[in-house]
Order: sequence, then structure tokens, then C-alpha cells
Amino acid sequence: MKVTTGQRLQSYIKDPLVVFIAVLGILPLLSSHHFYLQMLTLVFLFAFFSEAWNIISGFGKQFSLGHVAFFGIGAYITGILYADYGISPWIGLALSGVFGILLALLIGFATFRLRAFFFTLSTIACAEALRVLFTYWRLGSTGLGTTIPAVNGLGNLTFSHEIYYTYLAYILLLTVVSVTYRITKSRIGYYLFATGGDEEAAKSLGVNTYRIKLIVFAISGFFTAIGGGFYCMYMRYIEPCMVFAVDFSVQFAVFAIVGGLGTIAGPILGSVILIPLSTFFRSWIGGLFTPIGFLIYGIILVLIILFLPGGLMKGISMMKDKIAQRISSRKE
Amino acid sequence: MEIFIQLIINGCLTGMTYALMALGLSIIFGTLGLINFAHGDFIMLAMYGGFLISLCSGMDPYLGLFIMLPVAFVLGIALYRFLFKRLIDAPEESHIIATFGLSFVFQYGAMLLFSAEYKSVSTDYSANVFHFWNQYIDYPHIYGALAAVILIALLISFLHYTNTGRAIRAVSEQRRGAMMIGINVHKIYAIAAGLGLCCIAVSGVSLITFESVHPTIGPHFNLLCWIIVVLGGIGSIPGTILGAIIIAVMEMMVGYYFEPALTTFAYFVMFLAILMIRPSGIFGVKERRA
Amino acid sequence: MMHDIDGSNGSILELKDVTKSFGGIHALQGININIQKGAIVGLIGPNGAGKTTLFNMISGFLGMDRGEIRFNQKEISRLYPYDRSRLGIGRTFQLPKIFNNMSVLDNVLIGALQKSSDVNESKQVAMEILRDINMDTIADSFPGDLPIASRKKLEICRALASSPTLLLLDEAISGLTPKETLEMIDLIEKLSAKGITLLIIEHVMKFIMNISQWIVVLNYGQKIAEGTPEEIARNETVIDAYLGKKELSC
Repeated sequence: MKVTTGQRLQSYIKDPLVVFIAVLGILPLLSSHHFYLQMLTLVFLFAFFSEAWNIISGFGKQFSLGHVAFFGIGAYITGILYADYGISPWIGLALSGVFGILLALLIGFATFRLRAFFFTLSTIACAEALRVLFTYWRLGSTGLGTTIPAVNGLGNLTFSHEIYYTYLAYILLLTVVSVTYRITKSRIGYYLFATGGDEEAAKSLGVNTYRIKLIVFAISGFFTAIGGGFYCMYMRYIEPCMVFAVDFSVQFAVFAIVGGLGTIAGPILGSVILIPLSTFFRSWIGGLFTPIGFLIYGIILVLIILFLPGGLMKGISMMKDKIAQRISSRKE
Repeated sequence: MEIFIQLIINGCLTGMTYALMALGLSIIFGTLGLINFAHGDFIMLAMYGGFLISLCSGMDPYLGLFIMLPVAFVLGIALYRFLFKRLIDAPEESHIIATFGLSFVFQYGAMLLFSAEYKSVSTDYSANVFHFWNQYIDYPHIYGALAAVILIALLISFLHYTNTGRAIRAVSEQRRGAMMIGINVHKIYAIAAGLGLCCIAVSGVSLITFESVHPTIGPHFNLLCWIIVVLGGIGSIPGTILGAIIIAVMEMMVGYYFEPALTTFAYFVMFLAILMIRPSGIFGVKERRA
Repeated sequence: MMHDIDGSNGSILELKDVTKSFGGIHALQGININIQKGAIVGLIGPNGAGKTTLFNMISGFLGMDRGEIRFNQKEISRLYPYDRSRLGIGRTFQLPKIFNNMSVLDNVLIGALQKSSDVNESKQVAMEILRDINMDTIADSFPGDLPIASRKKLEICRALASSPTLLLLDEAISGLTPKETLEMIDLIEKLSAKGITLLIIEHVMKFIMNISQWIVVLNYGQKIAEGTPEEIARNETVIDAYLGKKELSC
């Protein structure tokens, strides 16, 4: 039964996810207040990172707790190439993406034939190793940290007005969401779910779980690295302890888990809720990037895993079911 | 050349303490099947425990073990009953995320309690050095190794010569089988958890005598212990000890000949190498990659 | 030792001297088995005899210390499980390994996707299979709360969707009520009618004796007997191994 383009478009418009994302796209236009746009940029950016993390860890159930490794590599490649060699950040981004893929393949090659926790361990070790390596090398033009020259222009990925960054971050988010969506509808996506559901059963059905994990991890690494490069151009200053901080790994994971592991909307939801929350917390208890903040993140993680592993998305769908039940029982 | 020998000796001594730490992990992982990514933070807390006891009472932290050991054991049992038990039945992924979250709770909880300064303990023998053949070895390291050897010996005897110990080994190898011959698995799990925490307590106390503690050193020890366990072979005590010594010696070498900061990088490279060449570890059971 | 069902088929699975030890325990010792195409073969033996280990070895989840495994005359012991599946070996597990994170239909879909990379086409195939077994009504529900009988059937459907020529069924009816067992027997006979060779592990003697055309008996990792159900029921070594259990009579 062939679906016409018109029908397909109609189904897209009715899809709550599409509506949600469209609404997000309009948000930057609602106010030109710098603080507001800055927060939106971060929301979009972290939703992007969480989505990328979610592909391998949420759908595939291979938890990467060192995803910041890709972030940092991307940040440094783009940053150094531009700051020290004047190479266009767009090329830098592309190269960051390539290195993201290579790093993913390296780790995957070593670990994907083994139990999942070897993979997790490797990602942790990798992130730490890179952080230490870059700290030791003291890369960059100004000692430990690298400052990115601020010469405006699209070619330099530098803008005077925040809204450009906001929309670029939004485009990044759109890209990763579309890719994720296409994957979930394809054979790779189903094989990925199978791998995450029960790897042995998947193998017994002909799924080359090793290859699936490699492909998906490479995609995840690719996006995260590019995002890291963007982050570098956005912040205009990077140093190893900043871009290889485990805090990022935690955030990517927490947003996805809180929002709903293994769903497409989950990471976005997590980011939309937690980033503003953390910003408001900043004034109250010093912010979510502080000891109390991470303490709370830790508690949230443990509680969610123990009591609501499906995150907010699961909570929402449970509520929908309850409401539907109540409606149908009322009809009787 | 002398330095080289010095490094090896220091490595072996520190390695014993590392071995004890890693054994704590191995017991819990091997018996309960629990992947604990907060292990390093337990060590951090043990180090603070030793520090506090020493601070408050002025005693040598090793003496403080008379208090810490029973507490650790009871704590292990409590942890099992209230947390580990729930996690064991959940899929492995949940272990990882939950203990990862726990790690953060410990790290930042400790930061709030103890502030972010580095703390260490100096004892009457901290500055003393044992001198032979032009080698200088400080007493804290010696005592640390001694404590580790004693505890490991006790542990091995317990596992091999007592009924409970044998039951623990049985459960490690075959949970279902063990249940079938009437072993109360929950009791075994609880005891294993308690034992694991005892190992952590002792190694924490040793560590605080020759290293400083900081709320965020947990992840470093965590990585260290996991790499040791993988290198030595999961489930093998001699493997863990050998692995720990290798790692400690490597740490000394890299730290001296290159740069202390690069040791983490060295771990990563070595870890990947192990996984690619022989993931079952030195003494682990070689299993076919599927 | 060959068994000739209708004399025209060749060997689909051949195990020669298959041996496996875990530490000091000999899980399997020098196993020799030959299974003809289209047969229904029962694999029995007391607990711990090595039956599931054998399945794991055939399907590629465990490596052997020594021996050969030939599938349609082709040596497969170097192949990964997913490659063996693609050759036509399907299996179920002692405790059904259902994908709890996807619907019943999607579970079967995974099997079907082995034959066609088109998701929609595979969905049709999966739906057909579910329809055949009257599970199409629950196609969209999640398997989490399904009773054991449905889970076992689902696992079989899923394996079936990958078009296997040899299907390993581990504990086909354990946990099932008598009525469910009859349904399962029905399903198994349908599978055989499709030409699929079946190797079944089961402990319920009556069932396995009735459904199998040939029986292989393992004990302590060794093959102690092989033959038709009648022969096995009379076999002294087998009876000894089971300590004279009454279920052996059929």
C-alpha cells in the first residue's frame, strides 16, 4: 500500500514529536534577550549531545560513560586548526567528525565482541586518558588554554548576535534527530534494538551485533565530536579540564535517562527541563555545575534507575494509559 | 639502575595494596555479579575514615581498623540488603548507571562534608625510611604491603578452608547450582559484600598513610581496580595480585621516566591492548569471542 | 550411526568427536551425532548431562576444545552465531529470550529481517507467521506480561521467520499446561511438515518419546545411547541413568 506524499506529510504534522520540535524552533524568536537565547542555545546543544549519546547507549544499551572524549577531541581539533593554523572551522568540524568516527572505531574494535561493561570501562578510561594527555601536552597558543580569535563571519563560525548560534545549535539538533529517526525505521535500527534487548537472542537470529554496534557508535561519536567543535567556537575558549570534564559525560547521560532512555524525545525533554532548572538553581545553591548540583544528579540517576527506568517518557506513556483506561471504564 | 630497582620494589609494595583494593572489587563482582562503578569512591570514603579516626584520636590509622573493620563488614551487609539486592536482578546496564550515579553522590557528598582540600595522615613512621643496599623504602609502603599480605592470606584461607568460604566460591562459579544444593545465596551475597568492604577498609587505611585523599579521587581508583581485575583475569586471586603488581610497577616507571600525569594514558593504552589480545586476562578462563 | 526416515535425505548436522571442558569439568566428551534432514530428533539426559552445552556449541555460542561440526557437510566451528543463523540454524533458549523492548510483531520482525532488508516486507512476513499461530491479535502488544506458553511460541515464531532449515528447541514444553503442550506438539508437527529438521531438548519423557523419530541420550557429557523411542525405552543404560524413573514408559 503506497503512501502519498500528502498523506505522509499529514502524518508527520500530527506526530507529537514533530510538533514539539517545531515549537522549539520558534522559541528563539520569542525574545531577543541575550540570556534567554543563551539558555536556548545550551538547551538545543545539550539535547543534541544527549541524542547522540542516546543512539548507542539508549537504543543499543551499550553505555558510554566517557562520551566527553569525543566532545573534547572535536573541540580541540576545530579549535587548534582555527586558532593556530587559521583553517576554517567548517573544515575543522568535518575533521572533528572524522576523528570522532576513528576514535569510536578504535574503542569499538577492542570491546564490542566482549561483554558490555568492557566497553563502558574503555570509554571511561579513554576520556580520562585524553584529558590527561591534552593537559600534559599543553596544546594551544596561550599555554594551557586556547583562545579562539573572534573574527565575525559565517566562514569563521563566529557571530556577533547570539541568535545565530542558537539556530545553528537547533540545526544540529534537527540533524541528529532526523538521522536517529531514519535509523529507528530502518533495519539497522531494529537490529540495534534487538542488540540492546538481548544480544544473544539477536545473534541467534542472524544479527551481526558487532557490526551494528560499530556503525552506531561511529555515528554517535561523529555527531558528538562535531558538537564539540561547535562548542569550542561558541565558547571561544577551551582548556583540557574543561572540555574533557567528566561532567559532560554525566550530563549527556542524565538528560537522556531522565527524559527517557531509548526514546527520541527523551533526551530533548531531559535537556529542556534540566538546563533551565540548573540555570535557576545557580542563583539558589550555586548552580548545577557545583557539588550540590552533581550530588543531586547522582541521586536523580540512582532513583530513576531504581524506580522509573524509562524516564519521563515512560511516565508520560503510563499516564496516557491510565487516562485511556479511566475513559474506557467510564464508558461502561 | 638503582632507581630502576627502587621503582620495582616500590611498585611491588604499592601493588600489594592495589591488589587488596582490587580483590574487594573482585569478590563483589565475582560473587554477586554486581558491576560496581562506585568502588573507587568506597575506597575514598575508607581513606577519609582512616583520616578522621587518626585526626580525632591521634592513633595510627591501622589501629583504627579495630573500629573500621567491623563497621565495614556491617556496612557491606547493609548495602547488600538495601541496594545491591535490588540491582542484582536488574540487567547489567542498570548496575552501571546506578553505581555511576552513586559514585557522584559519594564524590560530591564527600566534597560537601570534607571540603576540596587534599588530606593525608602522617604517622610517627611516615618519615622513616628503611634503608638497604642503597634502596630507600618508606615504612608506610612496607606496612601497607604487610597489611595487604596478611589480609589476603586470611581471605584465601577463609575461602578455601571454611564452609562459608567454600560456599562463596561455589556461588561465584555457579549461582544456580549452588542454590540447588541448598546454599542460602542471600546470606552468601551479604557476607561477600561485607568481606569486599573489609578489603576496601584496609586498603583505604593503608593508602591514607602514603597518599592524599580528595573527594574526587574515587574514579581514578575505580578505573585502576577494574583494569587490574581485567588484566589479572576475572575470578582469579593470583591473577588480581599479579595484575596489581604489574600496574603498580608500570605506574612507577611511567611516572618516573615520563611524567606522572601520563600514567592514566598508559592505563588506557594497556587496557585496550589487553582487550584486543587476551580479554580473559592473565589467569582468566579463556573464552571464545562470540 | 544413521537413521533413515525415508531414505532419501542426507545429513544436515554432523558432530564428530565434539569435546569441551570447563576448568576440570568435562562438559562434553567425544560426542558423535548425525542428524538427517527432515527428522525430529529428541535430545535427552539427566540434568547437567550437557544438552544445552551441546546446543550452545551447535549454534556457535561456545567454542569446542576438539572436534568438528558440519552443517550440510560444511564445517562451521569457526563461524560466529549470526553467520550460523544465516546458514539456516535457528534456536530457542531454555528460558525464552524475548526482546522485551519491542512489540510481539517486532520480535518476529527481527527474524524476518534476515531474509529481507525491507522493513515493510518483513513486517508482512512476520504478520503471516503470527496469523498462522493465532497470535496476530496481540501483534502490537509488548511481550512483558505474556504467559510462558505465548513466550515460547513467540520465540519459535521469531526463529521461524529467519527461515531455518535446522531448529534447535531447548525445553520446548517445560512450564506448559497439558492443553498448551498439545498446541506446542501441533506447532512442532507443522514445523516438521515444512521440512525443517528439529532437534529438541526436553525432560518430559512422554512428550519426547511421542514426538521424536529418533532419540539421542546424553549423560555426564557422553552419548550413552541412540535409537528409536522404543529402543531407548528398553535400553538398560538409559534406564539406569535415570534411576529407573517411571516416565520412561510410553
